[in-house]
Amino acid sequence: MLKFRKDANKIFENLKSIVGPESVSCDEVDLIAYSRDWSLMDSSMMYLPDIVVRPKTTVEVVEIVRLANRERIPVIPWGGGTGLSGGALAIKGGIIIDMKGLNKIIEIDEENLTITAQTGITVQKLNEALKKHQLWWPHDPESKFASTVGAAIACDNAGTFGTKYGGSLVDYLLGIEVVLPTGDIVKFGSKAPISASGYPLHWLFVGSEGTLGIITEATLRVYRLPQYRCVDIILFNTFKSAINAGLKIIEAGLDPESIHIVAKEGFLYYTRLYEVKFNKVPKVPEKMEAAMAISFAGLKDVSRFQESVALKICSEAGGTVIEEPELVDIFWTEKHTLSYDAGKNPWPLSVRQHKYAGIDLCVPIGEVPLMYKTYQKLLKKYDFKPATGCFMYCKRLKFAPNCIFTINVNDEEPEEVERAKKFLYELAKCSIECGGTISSSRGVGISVTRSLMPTEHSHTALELMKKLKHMLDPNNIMNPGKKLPEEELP
Amino acid sequence: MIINEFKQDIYTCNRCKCGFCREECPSYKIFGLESYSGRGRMSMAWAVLKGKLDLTDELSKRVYACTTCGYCSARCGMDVVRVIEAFRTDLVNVGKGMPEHKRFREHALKEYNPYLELHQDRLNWLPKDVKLAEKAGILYFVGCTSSYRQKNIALSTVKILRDMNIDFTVLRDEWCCGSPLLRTGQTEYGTELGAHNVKLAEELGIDVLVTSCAGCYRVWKKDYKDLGVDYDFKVLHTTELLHEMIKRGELEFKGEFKKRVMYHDPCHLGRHMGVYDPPRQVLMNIPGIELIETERSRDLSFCCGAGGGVKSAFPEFALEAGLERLKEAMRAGVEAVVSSCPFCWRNFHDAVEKHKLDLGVYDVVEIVSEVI
Repeated sequence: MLKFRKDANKIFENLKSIVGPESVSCDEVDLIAYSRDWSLMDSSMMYLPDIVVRPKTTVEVVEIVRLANRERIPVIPWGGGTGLSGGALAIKGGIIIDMKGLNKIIEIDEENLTITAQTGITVQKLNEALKKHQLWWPHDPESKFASTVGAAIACDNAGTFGTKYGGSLVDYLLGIEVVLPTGDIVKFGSKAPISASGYPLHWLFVGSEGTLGIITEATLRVYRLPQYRCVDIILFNTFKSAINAGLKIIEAGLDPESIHIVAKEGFLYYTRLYEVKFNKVPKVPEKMEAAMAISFAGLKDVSRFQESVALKICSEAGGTVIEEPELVDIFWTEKHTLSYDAGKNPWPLSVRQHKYAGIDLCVPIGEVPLMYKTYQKLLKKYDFKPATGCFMYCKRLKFAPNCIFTINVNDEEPEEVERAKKFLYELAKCSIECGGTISSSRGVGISVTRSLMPTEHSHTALELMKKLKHMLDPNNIMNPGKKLPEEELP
Repeated sequence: MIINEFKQDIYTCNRCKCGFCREECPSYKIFGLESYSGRGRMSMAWAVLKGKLDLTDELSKRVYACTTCGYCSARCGMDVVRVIEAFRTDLVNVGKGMPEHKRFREHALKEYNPYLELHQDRLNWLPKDVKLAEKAGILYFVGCTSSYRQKNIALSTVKILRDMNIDFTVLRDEWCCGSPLLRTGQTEYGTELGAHNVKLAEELGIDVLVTSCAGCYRVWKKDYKDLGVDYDFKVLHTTELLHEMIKRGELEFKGEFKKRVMYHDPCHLGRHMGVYDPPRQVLMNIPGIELIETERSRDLSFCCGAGGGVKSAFPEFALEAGLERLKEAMRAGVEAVVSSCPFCWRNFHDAVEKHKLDLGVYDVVEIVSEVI
């Protein structure tokens, strides 16, 4: 820990000279403000950094990283602080670099449909800027009001509109500027939508979780705002029938911008406002297991035509279309704003009484029903109630299931938190056994599933990852102790 | 600890950490570190409740460098401002309040205003030919800021009331409503101040109390009731009164005000009390005005920077936040910013002067008094 070093004061003074005294602090009130994120931990837990610093330019980032590398101090990039895997927590102390000071739009290129921005900007602000040009970045996580572009890239975060636009950051990322752990600035990629001329190293940083360098600028592919959008919700008796209907929609040649399948709990969660507003619970069939929210966007006639075909397919697959527009509107709005009524108002599914915990798995599409059954079995085994149940975004390649399985945990009870971790671990293990992965959109960070990295990845693959990390970060200063199995500071 | 009463809210924030409160929080915008956001302050409250953090001077700085504008609450849903105010009371109780606030509390208890002015001078602004009635239908509650500083707003309000032939009066012995104390955690005298003002107002037999101050409005309409100081008359902001009169066809404007303007929602009128439309409706009825809505308006408006004791304890922060808001107005190409709170007026005016901006600053009543 830095505070035990004799030269701690000198290091602090050096940081002050880099960013100015108002943008660096080692006071405990600041350290506490950066000590927790959205990830699962008991309510007393906190990870204090030694110093927090907020640069405003890439040059300042370079100088901070060079100092840290010279002095062998861990640096941890911090975006919105909304991570669900603890990726931005200072588990080994060190310097948290709050990237939100780098929040400028550098260029909006309307003709070439790209935006270049500093990565500390929030997803929401980026889209507000694009909207003035009738453009948007379809990446749309629920955390968009707070989460940053840099963190979205570093965690390969998921959003609603992946069915049409991709959903992995690889699909959007054309180029980046990165400050490497040695303090060198490197630019990767260009505005070219495709390139086979070199190794696509900009993609190396997608999902890198801040372990390979700090992404300071990004050039992203953007789209024209659709003229029209129609949204429908269809209820199904089984997850499997919802998935099959989704597959048939794609196979029919339709082009939905989003397909989002949620378990009954998730449906009730996102329609909580309906209950508050109209004082009645939404009418759903007793046997309902899953709801599919599907949207089409583009020209009105085209979208409406596709919608009609999709609804026919869903009905033939046993789905019940929700006819009440208020209910559909509330679901859609809540899904995109995470409002108070669902999230924090006292009721069983809110975080008022429990901590939300979840895991972001991805298995081959045919294995989703099995995973869902396993989830239900493990709920009983570990005695947990589902939070928003299971929900899946159908991402890139039209139907890559980004499955989130959730539970409510009493975070005041350390024993229950530990039990929850075992639950998540077992579910992740099952994902690997099904040919899947332990993380599809939130990163591994310090989550309990990190110990499954050697199970998911072969020994040689993992060794190669470590070598790569070591090559870029020889002193292991960049977000150490995250993602890869433990590697001590030299 | 009073914050213990809000343990559920504090723990909920600590579990969730969504951070939606942060982006347009003026304190976070200017200071930049997480500890200056709603979430940051909630994390400090959590750490204090968990026994991991003492009530230090640095903590006090974070808790007081907040305009209590309520952007956090609007984004979150939980009443974060109420928690911050409770936190302030806990700090005051251990002598960690801001010295500037302590000074104005001591003065307010002697002279019934926070401006270090004499109580006997409170009505000096009142035109000599206005006779104070013993009974009246409407009481104009002036407030300390308009009585001692932004007399232009008090004078404009009185001109309107007189031009409209309204049966009104003002209190001969008006005391501070208590807002500066309540907003800074110095809650113990709120009831006393409220009881005095209510007693005098009731003696006048009024039907309606009208105020041109957003801070006073909130205190009269919400805080007094919360403190158990009840009354039996209607409380209106001047803009609500004017809007009602327009709707009844009792107010028409003779003159013009040919300017492109932005209406700035005072936090204590807008977010805290939900009064968004009346001031806009009044402005839209004035011939010549072009009313512009900027990116940040209504419940997501950006604070002027002055409230919650910030203007006195952190004057530079107040001006920087004010400038941030004015820049937004200038980007929208407006000629003037119009608010309906003397405190917003003061801070915007100070920022305009400091940065020599070519931008007008008005209160709604100033414009109305010109065109009536």
